[in-house]
Amino acid sequence: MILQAIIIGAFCAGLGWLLSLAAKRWSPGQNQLIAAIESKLPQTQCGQCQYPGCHAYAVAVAEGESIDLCPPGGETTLGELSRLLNRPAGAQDRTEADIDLSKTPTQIAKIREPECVGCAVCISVCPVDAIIGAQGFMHGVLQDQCTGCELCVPACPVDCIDMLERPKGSFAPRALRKQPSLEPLGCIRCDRCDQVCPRDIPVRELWWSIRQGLDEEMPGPGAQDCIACGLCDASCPSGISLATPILAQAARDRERKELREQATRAAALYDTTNLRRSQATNTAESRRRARLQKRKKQQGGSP
Amino acid sequence: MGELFSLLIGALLINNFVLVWFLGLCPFMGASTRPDNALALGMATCFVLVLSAVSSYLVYHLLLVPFGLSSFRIIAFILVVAFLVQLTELYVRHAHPLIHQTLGAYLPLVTSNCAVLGVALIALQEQLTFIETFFYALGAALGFWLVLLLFAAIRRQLEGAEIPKRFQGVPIALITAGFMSLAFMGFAGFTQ
Repeated sequence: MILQAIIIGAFCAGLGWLLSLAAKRWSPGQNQLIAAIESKLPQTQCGQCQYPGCHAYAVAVAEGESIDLCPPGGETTLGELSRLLNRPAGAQDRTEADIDLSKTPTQIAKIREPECVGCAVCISVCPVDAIIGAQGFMHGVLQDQCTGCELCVPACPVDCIDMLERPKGSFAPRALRKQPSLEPLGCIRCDRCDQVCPRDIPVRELWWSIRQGLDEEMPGPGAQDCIACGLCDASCPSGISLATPILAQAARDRERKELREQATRAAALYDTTNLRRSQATNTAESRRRARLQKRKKQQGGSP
Repeated sequence: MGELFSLLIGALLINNFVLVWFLGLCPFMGASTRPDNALALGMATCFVLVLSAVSSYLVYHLLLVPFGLSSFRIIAFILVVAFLVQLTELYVRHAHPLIHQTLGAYLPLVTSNCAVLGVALIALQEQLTFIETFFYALGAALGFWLVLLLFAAIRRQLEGAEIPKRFQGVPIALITAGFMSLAFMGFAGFTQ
């Protein structure tokens, strides 16, 4: 009896001991490192590091890629990465002491105002919302928000955006001063999802509009044409799940359409009932009037 | 060899653990909302299921029977399953962090998958040998994976389908599972 109890106890203890060994042997390291690196990157997904987005660059850095490839992050990101990874800051053999952490990205965007046509294209492209203005009005760049990622330059139809040297003493972009509050989007606007869609849905545009909560109906193929084939999910280099929000949007659209049809039916019903009632009262009213006139005539005739 | 094959097919299709025995329904309903999740969870379950059935066999015959502890088999098997799940999770987190990210909370849930314990106990009840236990568990695991994948693919299509409001979500999933179970009943009678 005692022997059996000891054996069961030893069996449990042995399994526990093996588990603790395994936990020591396979302690999590690499993926947490990648997450830590990615949290230091500015999440502009601009691709200037030659990697498709910030996540891909974080993975590459974890595997030994140089840490000075991020122009929007500038010296701030470089210094933070250097401290995080305990690596000298980049290929130039600069030491940590040489890096002034108050320094900011080296360039900012500047709009040549007389040439701006107010098309608002650059506003939607800017990942940190540093461009202000509205449709038909001149745009401007908020200097302390711009990270110098250059995404607005190719977007401008009249080429009126210059990249200038950042003036000395200007503030660090807000995107770099604190952790980005948005989850990393990951979309690098490569348009692969549009190309693979068998129903010609503008997947990228649709996904962005759903994400921004615009919820507007666009002409042409849209969410309602999605056949849930999953090709867009498979094509996305950043691994974004595209089909699920699009299907959810299709369901919302359908519900709205049903509600609208219900409303139309209800309105038609109300109209016909109202018409019938008014006709009914008309006839009753006219009959009453006719009766009154008849009585009047009889009264007028008798005296 | 032929017997082993019929044991495998028997556990895979004819006596499918999910659709015929109704074991392991919670991950079947819970993890089948997306095909890639289903793929990953099915893989993890497969691995743990086969490993736990085989090691349960060893524990039973090498440890429990010689010391007259066979009445403790359920406790011992639960321990073995929990141990293997933890070990698998540690290893996956170390070697494939991306898979670990997609599996997330699902991997520890394999512990409470009744099919895992069920296979070990049923294999014992049927008095299978070591090799037979392995093939039986492999069949059961592949059957679970197959059904999970099929169901996830169907649910993917259901997302875009026009479903009456009262049936949306879990009700239509349960009805679908019922139809799948009926379809798998068609395999009964393939072997004796």
